[in-house]
Amino acid sequence: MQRMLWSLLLLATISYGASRMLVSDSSAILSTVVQSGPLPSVAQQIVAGPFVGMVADYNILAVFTIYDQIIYKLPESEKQHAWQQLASYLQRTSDIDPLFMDTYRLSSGLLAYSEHGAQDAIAILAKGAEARSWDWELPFLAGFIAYDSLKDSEQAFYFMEMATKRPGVPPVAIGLASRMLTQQQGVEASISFLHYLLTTMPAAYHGQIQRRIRELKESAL
Amino acid sequence: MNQAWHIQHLTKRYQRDTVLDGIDLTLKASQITGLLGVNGAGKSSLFKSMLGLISPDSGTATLPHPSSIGYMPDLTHLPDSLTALQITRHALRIKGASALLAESTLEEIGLKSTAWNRRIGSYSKGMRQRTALAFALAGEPSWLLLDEPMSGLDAVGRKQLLKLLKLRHQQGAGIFVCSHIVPDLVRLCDRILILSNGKLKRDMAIQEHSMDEISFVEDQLEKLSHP
Amino acid sequence: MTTTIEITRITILEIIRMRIFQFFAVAILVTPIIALVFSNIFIFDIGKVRIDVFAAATRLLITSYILFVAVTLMGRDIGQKSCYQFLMPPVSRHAYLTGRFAGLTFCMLMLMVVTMIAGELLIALTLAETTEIYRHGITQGQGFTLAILSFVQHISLLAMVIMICVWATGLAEMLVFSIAAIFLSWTLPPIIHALQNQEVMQHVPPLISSLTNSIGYIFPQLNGGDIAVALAHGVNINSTDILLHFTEHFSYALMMFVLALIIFSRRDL
Repeated sequence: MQRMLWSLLLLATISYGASRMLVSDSSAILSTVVQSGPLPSVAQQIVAGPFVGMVADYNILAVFTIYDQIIYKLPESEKQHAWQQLASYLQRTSDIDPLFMDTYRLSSGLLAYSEHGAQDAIAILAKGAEARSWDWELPFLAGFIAYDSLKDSEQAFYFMEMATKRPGVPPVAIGLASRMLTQQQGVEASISFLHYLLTTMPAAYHGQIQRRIRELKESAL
Repeated sequence: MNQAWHIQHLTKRYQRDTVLDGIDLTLKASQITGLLGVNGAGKSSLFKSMLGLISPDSGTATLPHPSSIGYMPDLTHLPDSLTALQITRHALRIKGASALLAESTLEEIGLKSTAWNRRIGSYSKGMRQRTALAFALAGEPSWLLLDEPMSGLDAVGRKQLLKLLKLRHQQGAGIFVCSHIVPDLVRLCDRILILSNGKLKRDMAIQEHSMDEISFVEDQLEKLSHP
Repeated sequence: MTTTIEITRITILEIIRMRIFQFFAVAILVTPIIALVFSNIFIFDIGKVRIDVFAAATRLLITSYILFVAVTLMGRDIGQKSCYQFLMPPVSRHAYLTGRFAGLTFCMLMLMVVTMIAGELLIALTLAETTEIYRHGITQGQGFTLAILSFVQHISLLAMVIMICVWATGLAEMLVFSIAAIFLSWTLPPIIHALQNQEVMQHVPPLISSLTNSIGYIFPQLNGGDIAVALAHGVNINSTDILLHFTEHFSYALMMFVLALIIFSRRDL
């Protein structure tokens, strides 16, 4: 009986200690992820050795963490820096694992609608479009961001044209591209495309796209 | 009859330390030869040189024709995850004998049958020693080189081993054995060599295997090892 | 030949009865579960993340097999002199080492078969429970390809480690040098790759660059990250690349093993 009581007391002490540690450690890790930013791509590749895929996965986890911090925890004054860090993590991921789709989905779904993030998102998507040479979606996304956020028709045309030449591009996408590049139907087409993007993103990450849809609707009124 | 084992001018040095110093020796299969010497005298090095486990700096220690050899080293490290039966079967197959003889070999060296299928990792020192002996004796090799075979064995085990080695000798095996236990060696051998500081100091014939001879050999060993 | 087969046989028996080997086999079977749990944190390329985790975990386990089974076995053989028991006529040193290498390779092949089964199960589960968007490019059979290509790399690694073991003295040396060699063979390919980049080359003195390249040639390309990443994304590796991969690693393994035989036949035991 006495042994059992001692064992229970010991277990309770360990559990209490572990729970305290988890709280303090996790916040320390989160703040490190946001503050320090990723290692340079070459260093990441060297450190990763044969575990490149896992390091890319870790970068994406860091992106989720930073986004969570931006939305729920960080004061306004620190958000700009956090967006830059988020862009850095996505860039590094596209360098070490250029085929990883999460990088491009997060670039087009989160980064593109942040302040000053559109150009970074296009650069990342362009890298992805080069690596995933069979994929029409990435140049299409890059073209859309260039058109919608940067109002850069030349760049938009370049990427959209690239997308329409790739295998498997659906007629809907070709139609959307031509409507977007026609000034009169641009806003409507953009809203349609953003609604399509919403269907490819989980609800937790809809915020940025929904904000953009609201802006477009308001500008159309 | 087996070939004699000729050792000529065998010298082995480790840096400045000469562990074997020009050993000249012929081992006849018709005799059981024992090797005596204090720790560091060079006994194990002589065995290893004869078996080609270490290369001598000069001299040769070769059997004129390839023969099967059973060797039991002074430190026996058998694979812990295997059983005595598995390791003995392996030894038999390697020597071209039938693996079916494993049980009789283990019986011969006196390892109790309940231990045959247990992992060697769970064995006592004596049981390991017996397993190593079974490994060396398996397949009736033409030469047996045994380095401290009595170490770790109880009095009964030692007596059984001496009997077994005499039997193997009668069946034609050449035996070269090294031990610190002088009485056992005198009872077993027809010839005893004393090695000191890497040199062969005495080569004695044993005729009566008597207490007097035991005392004589012990005196000689003491005298030659501590000049 | 018979003695080599016998040594191979006893080596296999010895290894498969080791609890650590059984643990590695079970751990490989468990890796798909770890991959499934880990991938839950992700949103899109879940199939890719699962293969990443699976490839990384199995690679770690197979490398641990080489370090903790192969190196400790050789450490006991040479360091604790247990090879004395086996190295008697008619067993030559060549037959002994060849048997040991073959036995270790065969047991590694067993682990690879387990990897193949676990990998195919993971892929089948991913294909069954996710839609196309979550498993871009993943197809049944990639677990098989991953295991085979990884196996070939690990034969190279095993041969290199055996060569180190027959040269080194004592278990500590064997472990330290083997870990160092594995570490270098993992990290050198990306360093060399980075050095070949025009921008980086401008900042690196030619002497350092050629030195790194020379060291790189000593080690096999064991990084393996490129293969795992390609397979995780469902990119087919063409047959010429596979052939070159096999040729490179078999040649390297053969070279290392011949070197090991030469060293082993000359060293004092």
